Amino acid sequence: MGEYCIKTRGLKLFYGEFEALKGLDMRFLSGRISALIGPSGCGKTTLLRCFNRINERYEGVRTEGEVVVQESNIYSADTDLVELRKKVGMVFQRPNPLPLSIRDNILYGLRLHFSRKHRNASILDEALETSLRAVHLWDDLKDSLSNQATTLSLEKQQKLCIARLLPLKPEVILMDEPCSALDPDATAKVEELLRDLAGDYSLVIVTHNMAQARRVSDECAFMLLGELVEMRRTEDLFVSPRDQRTADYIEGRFG
Amino acid sequence: MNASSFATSARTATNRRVESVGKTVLAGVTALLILPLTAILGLLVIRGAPALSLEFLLEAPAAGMTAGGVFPAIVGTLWLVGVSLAVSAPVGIMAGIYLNEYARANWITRMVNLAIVNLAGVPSIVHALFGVGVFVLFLGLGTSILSASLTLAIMTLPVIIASTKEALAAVPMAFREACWTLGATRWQTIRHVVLPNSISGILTGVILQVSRAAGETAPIMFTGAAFYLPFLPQSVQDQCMALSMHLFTVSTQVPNVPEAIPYATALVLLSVVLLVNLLAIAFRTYLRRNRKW
Repeated sequence: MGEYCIKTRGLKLFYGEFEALKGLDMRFLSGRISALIGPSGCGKTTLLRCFNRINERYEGVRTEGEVVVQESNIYSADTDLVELRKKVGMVFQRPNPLPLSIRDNILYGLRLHFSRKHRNASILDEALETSLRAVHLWDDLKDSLSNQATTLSLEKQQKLCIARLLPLKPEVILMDEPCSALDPDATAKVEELLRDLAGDYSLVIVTHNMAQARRVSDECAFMLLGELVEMRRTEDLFVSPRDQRTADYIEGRFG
Repeated sequence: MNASSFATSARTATNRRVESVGKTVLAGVTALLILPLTAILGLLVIRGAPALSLEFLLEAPAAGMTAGGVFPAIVGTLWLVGVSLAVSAPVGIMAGIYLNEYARANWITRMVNLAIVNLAGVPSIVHALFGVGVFVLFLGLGTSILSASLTLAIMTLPVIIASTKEALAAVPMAFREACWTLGATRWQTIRHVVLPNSISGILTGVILQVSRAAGETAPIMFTGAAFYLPFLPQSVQDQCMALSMHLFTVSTQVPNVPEAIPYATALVLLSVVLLVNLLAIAFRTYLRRNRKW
């Protein structure tokens, strides 16, 4: 693992004519939690979705510049999206377990990428237990692994969605407001989980909730209208923002 | 004590009256709908009853269509429905999948979608002419079950494509994103998650086309259906009789047919459609229960 898990150089993104990201140069620390904050429409989610190129599933999206993950520009012509997504996983606002059993959800990634003979029962069982333990769900769910994942509480669903990425051993996990569908209690538990995952994984999290950014992240980037205003250690950014706009935003003068 | 502050005001009373009138009208219209349905069925049963018997189902027409049964027509209709859906269901479903899951929203896709919508609105007699021109004459398939079935297939395709697209579009985007973020290809996503969650909707579209394929007369009249055949079809290259065609024949083309025969034929046609639908629904239920991947 290098010092930085993701680097962007002159990253621009257009939705048709609209320039949503205006040439970003950013670096995200490896093994840490980096938060992206800013008002709605500032481009933070768009930026996050550049890191696994899921934006491209939609019409009229055009990207310029570089995003470097593991020393490779993921926008180069020889990037295989399947390989990229194995290394850069994503968790969405609303938990989106597949309509399958808990077990099948966790093992779906392995089933996609490994042929039958490379996955025997013991490998699968081990991956299942390791992944569920990593998200603090094993003790709760170990006796109901064949239940439908969609019947779990939202908190557990979201943890399951995180666990589902782990068997593929991702480098980076992207999180798009992972707690916005959860109540405060569940949010606290998921945040605790994020702290546990940092170190083993690099996390980039988009959040609307400044208190959350402050609680969980190591470094924090404030974005406005498709531009990066400042990106620093979370503590520094909240205590002594350099830019007046950052100060105004974190004090709630605009939102 | 004064009247309660929550007593019904004049305005609320009016609203309430309008509400009850509205509800009555809507319910009444719905009830009226049942009338023609039951009337049709009742008429068919009452008028057709004298001709109905096991022999009617199992024998060929006799005495210049004025006696005997409809067995060859039942067999022919099953051939036509079977062969046409064997063509249109896979083609339509595959096209629907492509259009909904892969096609980008460019002008070609828009043209294709426009063509499908318009194809759905083409009268069946026009399909018949097309079938004669292309399948019977140009491709040299002759008047045969194959020509007639292909004509029916073209006719049923647009609805199958449209209902497939609709069923696929109803699968939440979140399921697809979940797969993509794990590095699933589009096909893996479709195969593992999208199809299992839309298959019953897709099959509903196909089932609806069974009655269409069985009931249409015009498209098969010039392409493969015969007035009367003394033998059963042995392959798709033979002509066949068909219930819809037979109904047309005995009601308008042949003199001195006992009144009960057309009604009984219609009743058999309805029953065949119902039976095929039931089979398809059973299959759909089976698939739904075994939602595996």
